Parts: sequence; C-alpha cells; structure tokens
Amino acid sequence: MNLWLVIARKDVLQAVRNRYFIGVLIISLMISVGLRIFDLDMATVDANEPPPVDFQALMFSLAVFSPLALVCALVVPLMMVEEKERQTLRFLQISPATIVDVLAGKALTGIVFCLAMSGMGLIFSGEAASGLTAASLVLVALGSTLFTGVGLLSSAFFRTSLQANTWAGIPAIVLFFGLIGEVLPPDSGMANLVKLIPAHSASVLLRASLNGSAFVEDLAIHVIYFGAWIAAIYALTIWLYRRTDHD
Amino acid sequence: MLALETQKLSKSFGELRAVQELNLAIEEGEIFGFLGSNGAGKTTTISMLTGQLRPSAGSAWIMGQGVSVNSKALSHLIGVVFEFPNLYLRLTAYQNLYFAAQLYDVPSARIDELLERMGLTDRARDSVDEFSTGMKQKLLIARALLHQPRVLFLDEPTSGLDPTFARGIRELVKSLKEDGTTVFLTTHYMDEAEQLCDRVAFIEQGAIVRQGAPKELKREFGKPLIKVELKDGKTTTLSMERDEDRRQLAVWSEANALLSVHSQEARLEDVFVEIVGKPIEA
Repeated sequence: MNLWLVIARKDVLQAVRNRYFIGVLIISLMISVGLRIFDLDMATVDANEPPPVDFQALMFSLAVFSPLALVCALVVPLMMVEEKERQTLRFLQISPATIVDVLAGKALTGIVFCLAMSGMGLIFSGEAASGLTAASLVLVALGSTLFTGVGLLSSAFFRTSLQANTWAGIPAIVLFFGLIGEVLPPDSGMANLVKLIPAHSASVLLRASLNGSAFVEDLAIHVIYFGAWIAAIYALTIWLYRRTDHD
Repeated sequence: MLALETQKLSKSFGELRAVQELNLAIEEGEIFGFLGSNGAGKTTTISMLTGQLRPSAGSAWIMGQGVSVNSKALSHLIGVVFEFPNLYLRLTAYQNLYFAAQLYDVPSARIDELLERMGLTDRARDSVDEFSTGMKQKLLIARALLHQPRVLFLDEPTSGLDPTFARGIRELVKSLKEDGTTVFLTTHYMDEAEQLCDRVAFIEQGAIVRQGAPKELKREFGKPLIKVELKDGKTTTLSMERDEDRRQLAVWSEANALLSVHSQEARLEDVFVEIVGKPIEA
C-alpha cells in the first residue's frame, strides 16, 4: 500500500476520535437541517439574472461550503499540528515515509471529510434532489481540495493546538467571505475584491450548475483558475515544510 | 563492519555549537552508552544519526550506509525509542503498531509477537491514552523493534519509570544484545549505564570528553574507596587518596572503633565527576 494511503487511514482513525471532528460534524448537520427548515427552493435561483441580494442562493452556498470551511479551520490544521505537538512527526521522519507522503495522506483525509460533509449538507438540506450535475461535482471536489490545502498551509505556521485553534480560522473566514459576495452591493469595491477569492466563483458556479445553467464544458476557465490556486497552495505548503524540516 | 561510525560530526544552531566534531566507532552487537547532562548534546546527536536533523559538518554511517535525511535505506536499519512518548494517543496499542508495521511493510504477525514479548497482549485493544508511562515506554520499544532494526537508539529509556518497569526495560536491552542488535543508549543514570554498556562516552557541551569501557574508565580515573562500618553503627566511605581520610581511619583503628572495613569499587558517577568536573545534571 502507498505510504500516503497508510497515513490517510491512520488520520481517519484519529480524526473520528477527535472532539473537533465530532463538533464540525454536528455544526454541519445543524446548518443543513436549518436550511431544510427554511425550505429553500433552488428553482427560484436564476444564474443568468441573479438578484442583487439572493439570500436563498447564499444559504445554499453555506450548506455546501460551510462544512468545508469548518474542516479547513478545525480539522486539517490540527491533524498536522498534533503530529508536531505530540512529536509523532519525528517518528514519521525516521520512517520510510517522506514529508510529501505525510502531507498527501492528510490532504486525502481532509478532502474525503470535505466531500462527505458537503454531500451530507446537500442531502440534509434537501438540495441534492435539485439537480446535481457533473459540473457541480467537479466544483465541490475542487473546493474540497482547495479548502484542505489552505488548512494544511496554515498548519505550517503553528506548533501547538492552541495556536492552531486560535488562528487557523482566519484563512477559512477569508475563503468563507467569498461566499457572501452576493449580498454586497454589486460593482462596489468590496464586491470586486471578494470576486478574487476562489470560493466566491465556486459558489456562483455551483449554484448555476445546480440550476442547470452551467455544464462541465463551461467550467474550463474556472477549473484552470482553481487548479492554479490549488497547485500554488500545495506547492507552498510542501516548500514550507521542507524548508523547516531537518534543520 | 562497524555498526555506527561518525567523523567530525557537528551541529550548530546559529552561534550555539550543540555538537562539536564527534568521532565514534561502535561495533556490531555493542551496547554503547552516551552519557551527559541535559543539554549536553545527546538528543541532537541522536537526531543527526537517525536522519531527523541535517548535520552542519562531518559525516556518519550506520552499517556502512551514509546517514542522510529522507533515506529509506537508513530507516530500515535503525529503530528509535524517543525520550518523549510520541505515540498516537487516540489509537489503541495494536493500531499504533499496525500503522508502523504498514509503514515498514512488516507482516502483522510480528505485532502479536512483540505485544507478547512486552507483556501488552491483554491491553492491545485499549487506547494508548489510558496507558501508564511504563506501558507507553514498552509500546515505544515494540514500535522501534517492529522492523528488526540493526541499530536501536534509546533516548533516556528509563527516565521517569518506576523501579519495576525500569528493571524490565534494562532486561530487555540486555536481551537485544543477545539478539545481535547494536544499542546506542543515552541516559543520565550512571548505574544503568554501568550495568548495561560495553563502552560509554561522556559528552559535555557538545564534545566527547572521554570514552571507553566502564571498567577501564574506573580503573583509570576512579579513586580507591573503602567503606567503613563503626561499632556505634555509623557507616562512611573514605578515599585512600585523601590524607585526612587516611588519618581518620588510623584514629578509629587505634581507638578500636572499627567493626568492618571493605574496599569499594569506584562508581562511574565518580569517574564522570572526575573527568567533567561536575556531577551529571538530570
């Protein structure tokens, strides 16, 4: 078995016994159920002519992306920081696994959690039936990879769980802020700034694809945009860990 | 072939010279004690020898294999028992060993064998979080031995253990020698080093100040001591190199106050003080 798969398996076992993971799971469930109570109707969302403030669309983005932000802020950084804090990273350093194996294993775990939780968000909020397309699945997968990457990147700056719990939420909040672009006055400076955050375009595209107005072929430019962000974040993470590793 | 060799191995952290031009040559099957106070450079040396830390200068070889970071060949040759119990606390003992077994591509039958050897079979399915310090130490040793390393590094293996567990660990180290495993042991317990080690090195401020077999070092640096028991029930230790001690012995002898006089072998701890100039600091 590949070493990063071995590490991912161990991380899943560890995470399901982690109170933060259980907390994230419960909060995600609460958000999803809350959305169902509000009885959102995605048929009213028109991606071609989005209303200036579309709270229903915003709530839908929250259903899918809030679990990702929570995993990014609470689960992924701790997976890595605990290895440093408990010095288990030193055991991994002397084992046949490399730091890339370790990061890849944690990325896989984070992505699986993100996919499972956003899927759960769609199901429990009742939006899964509103027309999942291949385009929306691609977006959720890319979003999961991006949010997990940001969580891993932030972990490179922390040595203790306390530091991670205090500060790791900040990048997640920035990503999350991208989701609320729709409620800002259009063409305002802030709205334009928010559009640069990859989570914003992901949420717009996701809503459009669920509404049946965006397809895989429409996503090419966004996939490249996302891909560039993801590649940059993971490359920076590996570089940071290699730079501090062994010195 | 030497199990472990270093040539001018050095490590600096900025201005601090943590390890200075370390030269070691350890034979296969030897138990080598690396003794020094806290902060003397023991753990930094282990970190370099196990590929966790890149040396600033010099070279090291384990079983003829050059030591470097991220070396898969090296990882299969060495096992490390860390001073800090760096286990996955939320996993069970078995899961901890299973994870390590998968990393090293070791069959799971070996896990049962080691759990049995360490006396942990009954607790294999318990979370490590519930383990005592001694049990965690045994599990760390089991993890380090899983892939049958040729050289085992033990960093303060009995630190903080109760006497029963500490004795068990020492017996285990002796049995490893019988299996042909080379052991590199750091400790600040001199009695432990004396009991276990074929040779020891004293390290102070990152440099080796002396190395050799404990008996040789004691012969060379130890002062002849005698243990005196007086008729009034008091006991004391005197050095035959000190004039005032010799005079005191003569006084007691003339006064017929002596009950017994026994020669006492110098202790490694005294040798350390003699060479380094201060007692070992834990």
